[in-house]
Amino acid sequence: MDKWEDIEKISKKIASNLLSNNIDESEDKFRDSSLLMNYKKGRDRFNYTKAFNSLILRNRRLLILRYSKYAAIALLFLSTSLIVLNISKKNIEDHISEIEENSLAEIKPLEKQAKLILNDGKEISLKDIELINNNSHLVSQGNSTITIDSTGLNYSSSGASDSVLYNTIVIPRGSEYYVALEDGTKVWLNADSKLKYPVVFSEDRREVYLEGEAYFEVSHSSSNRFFVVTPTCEVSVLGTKFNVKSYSDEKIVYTTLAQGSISFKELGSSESIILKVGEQIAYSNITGDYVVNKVNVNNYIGWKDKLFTFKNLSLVEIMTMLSRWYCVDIVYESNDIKNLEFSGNLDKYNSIESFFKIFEEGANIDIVFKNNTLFLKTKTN
Amino acid sequence: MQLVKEYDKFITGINSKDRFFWKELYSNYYAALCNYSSKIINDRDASEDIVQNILVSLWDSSMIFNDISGLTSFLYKSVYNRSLNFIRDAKNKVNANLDTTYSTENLESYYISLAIEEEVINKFYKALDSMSSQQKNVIILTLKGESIESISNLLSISINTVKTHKKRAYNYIKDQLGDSFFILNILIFLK
Repeated sequence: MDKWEDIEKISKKIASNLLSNNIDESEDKFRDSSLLMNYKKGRDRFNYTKAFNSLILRNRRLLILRYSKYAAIALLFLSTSLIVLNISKKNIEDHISEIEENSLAEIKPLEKQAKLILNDGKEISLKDIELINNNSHLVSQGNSTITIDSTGLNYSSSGASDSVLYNTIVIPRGSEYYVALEDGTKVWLNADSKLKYPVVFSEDRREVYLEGEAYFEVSHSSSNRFFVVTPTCEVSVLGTKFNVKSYSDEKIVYTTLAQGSISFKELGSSESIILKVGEQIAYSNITGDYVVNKVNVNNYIGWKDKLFTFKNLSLVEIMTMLSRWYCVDIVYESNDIKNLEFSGNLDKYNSIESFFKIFEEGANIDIVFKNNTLFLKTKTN
Repeated sequence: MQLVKEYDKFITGINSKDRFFWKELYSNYYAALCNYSSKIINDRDASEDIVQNILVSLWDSSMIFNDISGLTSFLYKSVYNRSLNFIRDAKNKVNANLDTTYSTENLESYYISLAIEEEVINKFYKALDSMSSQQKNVIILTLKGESIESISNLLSISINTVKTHKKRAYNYIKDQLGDSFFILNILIFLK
């Protein structure tokens, strides 16, 4: 047994005794508290932040050196830019293998389409309506009217109704949609999302139910708070712009604030967290833990302006996003590629091909497209 | 909802080279290890180089740790070995005379106890840092041997407040630190 292995155990016990004031049980030398104080001086000479940053910088530099050649080549024929930043300890081969023309070019997002479910269960395919009638289309429900045109859905009302009628809009993978709610609140819905909302809001509480991702521009009302409820949490605002991402197959709910302030809380909890502009709260559905970070908001709301923007996202996170947008499934045949990190931005309406060329060449990943599934693995030569 | 400390996740994060957890690793060990090394070699700058080299090669390696104990002992032992090498190399340069005293078991034991000492202080301060400043003051004064009455005078707070702080600090340690004494400052999730 290695004596070094006792360090953790023994030091834990002594420190615990010191803190809980059981000084008698601590080792003799620690009874002299000046020793404790003097240690701090020695310790303070060393700054861990600088050392940690230099490790991260070193990793980046290594990678930029490795990838710069490929990046330059890639940029020549891609209209998109993507900077490969981090973590591959694999040596990149010194040559680029022949780029095979495969069927990746076929992968494109769907046309803008969605399904609207009315209060009585009747379903309207929003794509069909646009196809049949290029002009706007009207649907009446109680005191409200829905105008459907090329921008999306627009609700308006001629006064409060006696009973609350709900509509649900369902966005499939590969699509996105825009809805203007009755109170003037604008909602951009991302692929694979669902929003349930009252056709006319009640006087004292505006509440909508979200699964998936949406960007909200809530029209201001100081007397009538607006609530976005997801299966695990609730965001409440008076009038602001923010993004909520809460997919049922992802562990984390991300709420990002672009303007104003919002209050975030776990369903069933009385404790709420106030977010300020530029902050994002990441909440774990599984453990209930959360963290608030300062972020570049544009990286999280770019999708509504037809961009994919991402910074230091892992391949898994990027692929999850792409699979929703391009309607493909992903299979990882090598596990070591999952944590590769990338930054960049891309036009959402491009074919996915441009994206993958850079993964293939920059990070040495082999991508095969078969039966609407992308198979990803480390390139073998 | 609560901020959590979780140290299985920490070890997993270290093993998978997760940047977030590596920052925690630096925050928790870097200064302690440097201080430890500088006690052996008595050279501040060289001690930082030694520690950074160990951490960088750990990042580049595929080494896996099962628990905090394994990680802690690996770090201190590596710093110990590299510090001795540093002394040996330095001596080589000066008079090419290898000092053999460093291989004795006694000396190793001495340096292990030094490492434990370093780690005690490390854990002590990490825990102290996570308390409120008044709780912290009460604990420090208590350690200095001050009575409840004199702490009350020194900090201009009532005797009951001192008692409450002591009790809270004690409960805090019991509840929060418990078995996993290791504290993570920020909560952990993802992956």
